[in-house]
Amino acid sequence: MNCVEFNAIIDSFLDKEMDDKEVAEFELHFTSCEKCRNELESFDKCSRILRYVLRDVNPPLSIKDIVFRKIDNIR
Amino acid sequence: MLICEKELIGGDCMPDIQFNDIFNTYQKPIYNYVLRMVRNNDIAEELSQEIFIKTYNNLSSFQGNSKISTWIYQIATNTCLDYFRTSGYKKSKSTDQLDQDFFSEETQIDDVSKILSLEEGLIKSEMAECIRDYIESLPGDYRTVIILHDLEGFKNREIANILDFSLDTVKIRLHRARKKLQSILASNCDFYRDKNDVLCCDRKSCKDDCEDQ
Ligand SMILES: [Zn+2]
Repeated sequence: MNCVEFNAIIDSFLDKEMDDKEVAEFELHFTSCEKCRNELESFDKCSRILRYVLRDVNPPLSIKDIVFRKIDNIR
Repeated sequence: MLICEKELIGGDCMPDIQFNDIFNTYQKPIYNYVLRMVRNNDIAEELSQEIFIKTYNNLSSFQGNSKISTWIYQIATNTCLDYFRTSGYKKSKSTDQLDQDFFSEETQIDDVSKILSLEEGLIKSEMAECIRDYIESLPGDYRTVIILHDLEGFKNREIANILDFSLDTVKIRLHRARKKLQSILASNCDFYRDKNDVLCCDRKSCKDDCEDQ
């Protein structure tokens, strides 16, 4: 596997969508290639930063009030 | 325990029970999903209401061919995308333009690694703003894919169902959106650590850049 091929399947690896043979090839490449190892790590961390920055907040209570009031009118 | 008022007067209350259940389960995830898409509390609230009213009105036609989560996220996604279309929502790049960018860009991996080796708790709010700007600058399709995957936790195949895309399209867009985020973090924002070792971002240089897009 070369770096271009590695890059093309990096998401499949992160998403755990590879079979054992593919995982073995993938791991063989990143253990021997620092550039791709860094790439893999930064992909993973980008997701973590995204999840942190856009973490869940509580919805305003008014959503429930309004939705159920409108539904009462529909009934 | 769900309470059905109609049961008291002897009516058929099945649809209401289901809706209450759905509402309680999905109120928080759907509101957060919409908020990530539109980045505005008031609009997120309005659209969430609209989504649940649509869910209620269409509940009887839901066939159970897909998972209920897929169905509700379909309604939510379409409602957001309709909103982008009809409101003339902020300039974001066209999908084509973004596709071109990805082919002309070299991600500065070393810089990104340095930035990202920091703990999440140290990320300052300025940086959060940059990341929100980035999400907002993505064309709707890309935004939807990366949010559904990285934040809502859907598998690629489920995203393909929600968006009615092919699996390959989902994979390509997810990859490109991630590459783009990486390169934005590396080159568009001026990161440094302050004296307390907190990761900061020069908001101005980031903002200028985001506005150039
Ligand atoms: Zn490599």
